[in-house]
Amino acid sequence: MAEIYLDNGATTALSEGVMARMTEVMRGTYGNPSSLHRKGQEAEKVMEDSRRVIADYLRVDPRTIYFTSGGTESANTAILGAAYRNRRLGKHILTVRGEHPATSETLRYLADQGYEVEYIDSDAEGRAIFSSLQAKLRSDTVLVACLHVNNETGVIQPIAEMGRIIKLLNPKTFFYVDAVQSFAKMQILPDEWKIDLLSASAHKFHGPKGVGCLYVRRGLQLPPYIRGGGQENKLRSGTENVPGIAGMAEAVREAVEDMAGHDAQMRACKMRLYKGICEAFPEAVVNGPSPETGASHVLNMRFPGIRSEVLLHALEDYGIFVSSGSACASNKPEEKSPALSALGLSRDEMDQSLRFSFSRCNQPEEMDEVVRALQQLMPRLRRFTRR
Amino acid sequence: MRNGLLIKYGEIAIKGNNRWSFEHLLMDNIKERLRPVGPFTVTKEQGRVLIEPSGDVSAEAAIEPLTRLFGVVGVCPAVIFTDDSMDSIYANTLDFLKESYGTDSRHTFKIEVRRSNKRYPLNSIEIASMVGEQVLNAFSDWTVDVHQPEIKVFVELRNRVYVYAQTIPGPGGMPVSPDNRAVVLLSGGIDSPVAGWMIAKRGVELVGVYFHAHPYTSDRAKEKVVELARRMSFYGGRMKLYVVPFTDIEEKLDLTCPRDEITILMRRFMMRIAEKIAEAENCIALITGENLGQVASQTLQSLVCTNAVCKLPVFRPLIGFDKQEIIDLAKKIDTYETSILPYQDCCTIFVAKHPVTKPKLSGIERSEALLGDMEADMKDAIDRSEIYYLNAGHVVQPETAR
Repeated sequence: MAEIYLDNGATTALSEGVMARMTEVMRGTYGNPSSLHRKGQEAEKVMEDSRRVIADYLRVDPRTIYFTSGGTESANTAILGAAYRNRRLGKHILTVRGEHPATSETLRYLADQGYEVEYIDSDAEGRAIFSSLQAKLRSDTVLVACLHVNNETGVIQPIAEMGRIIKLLNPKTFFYVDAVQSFAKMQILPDEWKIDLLSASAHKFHGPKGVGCLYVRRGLQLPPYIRGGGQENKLRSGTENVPGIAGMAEAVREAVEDMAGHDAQMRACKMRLYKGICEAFPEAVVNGPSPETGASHVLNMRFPGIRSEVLLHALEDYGIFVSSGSACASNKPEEKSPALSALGLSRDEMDQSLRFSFSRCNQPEEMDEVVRALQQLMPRLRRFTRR
Repeated sequence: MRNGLLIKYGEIAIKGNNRWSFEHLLMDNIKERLRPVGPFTVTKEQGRVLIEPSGDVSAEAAIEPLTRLFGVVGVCPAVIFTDDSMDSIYANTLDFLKESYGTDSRHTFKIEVRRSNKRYPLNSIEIASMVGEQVLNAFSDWTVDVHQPEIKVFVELRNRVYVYAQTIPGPGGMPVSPDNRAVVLLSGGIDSPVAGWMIAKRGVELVGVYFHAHPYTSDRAKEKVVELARRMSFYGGRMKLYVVPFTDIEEKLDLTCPRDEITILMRRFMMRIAEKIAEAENCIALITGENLGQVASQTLQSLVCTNAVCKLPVFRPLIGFDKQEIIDLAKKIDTYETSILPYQDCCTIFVAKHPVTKPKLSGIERSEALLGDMEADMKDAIDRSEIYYLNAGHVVQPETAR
């Protein structure tokens, strides 16, 4: 049975090219970048070349790129570091509802430490409202933390405008952007958009798991989050994950090569599936932004009367893999689906929502098969709903 | 120096003429349990089983697996020797105590002697006082306390001499016998593993049955039940687990019968299928984790309705427990953490908001009659079952029943 993997927001398949590059590095460039001999030098070169690839994509100085273990570590380093660096400014933090737990849990930790965490109002699709940002930004606001593309709904935040507003009103406020879902899928311009800190994770764009990076604007000195041998300019100690870093760079290279083409392909998949679902199931509703304005790789839909987890398991039998935000009724759906909860969906509605997330590996024709599978499954599942 | 283990098995020792058969069963089970640990010789003598490493393995390595074997009341690390002269007893006892407690400790102790070799020239009291004197000489900070000693040193003179001081408790119960087999219905919750454990403790080999309702339940729920069975098998040893596909029957019930009776009807079919599996597996009883009044399907009236479909005796060892008592036991046997993993078991999806709590058997039977003949459905479910084999914590991946 052919697999149709539509859970690319969770993780993506490792690309063959990345795998080959990593194998090559693991086999040949096994040295420790800190070693003084030739083997160390070779490893260091692999790392610095990788850093340059990523910096080139973001159009920034390579010295602003720090390698980490992934999105969550980057978020923790950025948020805790920014709060510490700005500790004399105040204890006020602004964020948006429906953030990823890597951000929201770190902010909750800061709230326990006495920080005041306030939410920027968002519109019906989950997008931050500028006037609310303007009104709530204060002289003691140390940080604004915001997702670029929401992992559940695909809503794209107007980062460039937000950056401009923040720096206009309070140049001292740091702006942290979680770009885990958008990195290597769209052009991101930290310099132009006035971003101070930005996080990314390799496995969301066909790179390996366990590696990511943090962009830290030049001139901003973050305290180390992991202390030790002083690697990564003392920000992140620990022997560097050289093969992972090389793999991440290779994944960026592949992604950036034809970013517009990949985007068009994902968009085509999304629209084809969206239209197919709407034709077959007129009662289905989109959660979050309209399919045209949301990110190309995320489609979140609600099927009234159907429990998404059951549908998810039933789709497995067709080799189709998707994601349901909330696991089951006994768990707290607000915690599993913060973004849907922020949109005001009820528990039942969250329980009926399914996320399809695409990658450049998906073909638009596959979407017809997904619709066919849904058509076969729905009549049966509709009969067995919670009454 | 400590070169063996002495196994106490309590209850079996007071059996009558068939005592030997229980002893041999226990020894067989010990041998099987220790096979993956290393080579050991297992012998018995007058109410004791002796375990001695027969190769390059320490006696200590056998302790942990044996403390989870039914029939074992206690495991005593011991020194075992043949020379029963007083000099030999002194030397071995002192070495044993030095190894176990070191020389600069401070303890109160008592020597207790058992002498089944009645031809030995000294009696128990004389031996005890003589050994005690040697201990006092060798350990300057130790004192005798015959009433509440910290260390009770046992010296047993039988065919050979055994010296030990510590008894590590086992689970007790009776050795599991392949002649006593029963089916336990596992749901993935807290109760059923405990119920199975309690009956297995009385010497019963278990066959687990779990009803899986893909896609209404996650496959992780199935993995959870396999893990629970694996944990149960640390005690019982061999165990077979049937994973019965139950979706078709559940859907049929849901379409045909009143929603508020679904749970009871579902449980009646579970009991029927379990009984059919029991028949095929030479099991002569069923075990459930039912607990009076815990949920709608476990009221007295509901139990009457589910019980009515079975000919085999149904054991419900938890029937009179409070939930906390069950949880405490689940923690003790190390199934609790797995049981509370948050995957749905198959009962919860088709549950009505307000299920009947006082069903009448006649009414339930009337609803069930709407389904017509379900024999073929049940046979099909059993035939499509996956079967896992578990043994003392090992899992063999499944095969299909047919």
